[in-house]
Amino acid sequence: MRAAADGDRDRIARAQAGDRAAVELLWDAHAPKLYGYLLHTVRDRTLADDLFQNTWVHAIEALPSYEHRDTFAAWLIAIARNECRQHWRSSQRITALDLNQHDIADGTSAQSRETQDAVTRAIRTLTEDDQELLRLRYIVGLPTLEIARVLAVSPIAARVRIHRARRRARSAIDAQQTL
Amino acid sequence: MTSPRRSNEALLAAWGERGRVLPPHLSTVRDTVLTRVAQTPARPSTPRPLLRFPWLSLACTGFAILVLFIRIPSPPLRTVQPSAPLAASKSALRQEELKAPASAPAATTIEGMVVRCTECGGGGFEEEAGVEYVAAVGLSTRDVRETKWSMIRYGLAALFGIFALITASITWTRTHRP
Repeated sequence: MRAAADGDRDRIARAQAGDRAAVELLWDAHAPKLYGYLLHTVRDRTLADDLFQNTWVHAIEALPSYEHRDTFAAWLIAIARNECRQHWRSSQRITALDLNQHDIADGTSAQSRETQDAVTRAIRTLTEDDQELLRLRYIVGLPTLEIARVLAVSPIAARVRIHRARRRARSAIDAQQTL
Repeated sequence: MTSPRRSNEALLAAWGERGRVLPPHLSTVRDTVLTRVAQTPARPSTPRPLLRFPWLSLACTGFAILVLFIRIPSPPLRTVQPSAPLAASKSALRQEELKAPASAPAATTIEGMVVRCTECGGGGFEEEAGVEYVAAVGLSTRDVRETKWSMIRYGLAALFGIFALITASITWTRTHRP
């Protein structure tokens, strides 16, 4: 994690100087996590595409003022959360995530896919707060300290919340599997 | 043999891994972003206007301290000669406390005297017939005036203090937001 952060630091410095290759590297490292986070948050592919583009555009515009207080991933997620908030302010619409729509032809077996869908359904039964914690932890891969910063809570509170969210997620998965 | 707990943890990790897939059609977004990089001039980060807030906060704190410790001398006390009707109207006050010290001249002055309201026992200003009487416990007119000024000072200091806190919190929030 630390090595990745140091690598990001170098890339960001170059990107701030206008190095296009450095931005490409940042994109490769963070775009999949960001898109996954947005898609699981808004549950609408088209909307996720729009928010994804807006987030990157705003990130690039704000990149010269980025000051390494947070990791780049956490900073990007903070921008994405603002974009989601702005969208929800103008429209209260939340659509159900079509699991099949999100499936990418990744060669997974039908059984494996069924299991993954069961996990997604189980996570959907949790509260929005728990889901957000799980998205930040497992999709974006943020450490506890960064999650605390993104959510503006203390690291101890973040650790406790993550622990509880994971416990509830495990229970929900068990419940889905027994169905 | 893996425990159910570990197995579920692995499922969560797999769920996160699976969620990180970037659809190929988003390569157009990538091109847009990279074009934007070329358009965005590389510039040093400019100080945001909101960074002025620390100065505002500091200024408010300074004003609060200044107001708290500033002392404006009280205006000179007036010499009051209570007339007969006025003294009669002051029946609510204990007569012995309205009396001047034994050494005082016949034309009694009541300024600076400690008097007490026999009804409520409290203090305060009482305006009557253009004469300012002070009904207070253990306080002179000067004390009461200063107390009044102190109240104003504390109020102003609290006001500036609250404003300083608000500006400081805004600064903190804005500077810790991407």
